[in-house]
Amino acid sequence: MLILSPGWAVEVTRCDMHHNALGYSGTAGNSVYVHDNRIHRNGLGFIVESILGGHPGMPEDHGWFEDNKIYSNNDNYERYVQGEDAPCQAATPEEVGHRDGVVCPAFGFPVGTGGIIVGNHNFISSNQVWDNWRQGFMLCWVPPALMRGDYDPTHQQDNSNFNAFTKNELGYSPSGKVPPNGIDFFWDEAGQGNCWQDNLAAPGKEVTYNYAVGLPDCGNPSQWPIGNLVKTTQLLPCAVYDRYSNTDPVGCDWLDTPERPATDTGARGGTRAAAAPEPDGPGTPAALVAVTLLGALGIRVAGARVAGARRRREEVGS
Amino acid sequence: MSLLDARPDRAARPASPGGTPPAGSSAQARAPRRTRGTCAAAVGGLLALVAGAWALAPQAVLVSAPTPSVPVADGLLVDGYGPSGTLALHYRYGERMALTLPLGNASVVPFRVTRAELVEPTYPLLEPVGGPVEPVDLDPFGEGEVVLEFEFTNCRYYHERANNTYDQVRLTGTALGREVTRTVELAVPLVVHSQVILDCPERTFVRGDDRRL
Repeated sequence: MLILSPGWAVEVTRCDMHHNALGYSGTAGNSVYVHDNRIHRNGLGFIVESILGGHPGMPEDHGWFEDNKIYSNNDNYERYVQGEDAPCQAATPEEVGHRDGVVCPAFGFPVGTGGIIVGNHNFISSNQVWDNWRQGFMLCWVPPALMRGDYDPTHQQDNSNFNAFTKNELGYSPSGKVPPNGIDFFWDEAGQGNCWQDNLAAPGKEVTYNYAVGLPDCGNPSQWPIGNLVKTTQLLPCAVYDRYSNTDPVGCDWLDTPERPATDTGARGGTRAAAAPEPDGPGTPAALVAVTLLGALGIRVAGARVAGARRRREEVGS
Repeated sequence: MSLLDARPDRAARPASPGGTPPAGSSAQARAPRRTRGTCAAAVGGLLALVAGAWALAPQAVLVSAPTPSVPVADGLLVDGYGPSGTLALHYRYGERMALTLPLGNASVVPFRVTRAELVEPTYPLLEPVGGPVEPVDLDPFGEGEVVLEFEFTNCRYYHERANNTYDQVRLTGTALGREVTRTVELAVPLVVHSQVILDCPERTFVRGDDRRL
């Protein structure tokens, strides 16, 4: 249901958004109140973004996402696109088979994601988010010059800032099942004023994210506008996706279905950040050195014993 | 002649059982031949060295990664996006742009660049115009630059979230008279993004007309 409501430009509520490449999209979708919807079984659940040029009101701001059920967004429609015989490569719409459920994604998005935010002053609160195999929510920076056609140097850090993720219930369903997200929060560490607070995980589990230290809470939100280089540059290789001529871009893993996360993902005492592998500790090299020293010592001892035995034999012989 | 012939004890022996020519005169007779042989070997070695160097010259050419630049109106360097930033080009359909590539020869072999082109996809958003570049001579460890001209085009083949990324330049030329081609990574990649339909006059409403096939 779409409502023009006082205070919000648009209100979206009681919708069932499912089985799409992208469930909900809001380029420069400002002041939208999205609540009490089910967003499920899409490739990507929803996106509000400041990426696409030619839209008034950039960058996107003031979306409110509350009390939505966002789950199982892992349907990968790339199977209809990839390969010469793929249905989406057919010449006519009838041959493609849209009526039989064939979906031909026009854009390359990260399959297995609940929602993506590329904007400012968004409030993502009290949603139930589970079973999204790549990540529950993704917050990241996109430089306006790269995709939006805004070359003003002072605008390049105009997203994603002042977004709050609060009181979301992560990795468990209303029926009590515990299907985890791949990680609950992906953040590229860019932007200021972003915060995460009072988000809940299932009993015995912890909220998972790809950040080495704890995500900043809303009393001490993020400060630094520049992101993590490794995390920020995935967009470009995936942006060369084309459903006819480049269906599997080099260097883009967004279009691959992520593995279903293990049921102990987020278990307390386990890995907190599934996507941030710990650096190797000193144990392995130390063990190698020890084994080498022991081996050398063994050879020396054996050599000395052989030499001693030979000397004794010579003494006996003489 | 071998090393054994040069041993003092061998030189003292008679040359044959009959012992007719004295040992000293035999050594004197062989000396000019040894000198000539040494010289011939040296010359041969030198020639082989030169031939080898000539043959291997194309392999020895090394060009350092160039950092591209454009006039301010044609793009913006976005710091923080990628290890060295990313140069975002300002697409304006039908307009032209000049890209400057400084080239550095990182080898001892002189390299004459006669052609430079970005490694491009089919239907590039940035199409080369302006013909071949002026040849550029790069001395050993020397520097130079080429200026490439492009036109913004082909937007009909790309949806509005698409882009082209250019991160390599292919250089063709000669080194010591032999043809050389080098594909060099750009120190800063170039990105040119596609347009919404309003900014792309060549886009049509014909289904399938945007296929890059």
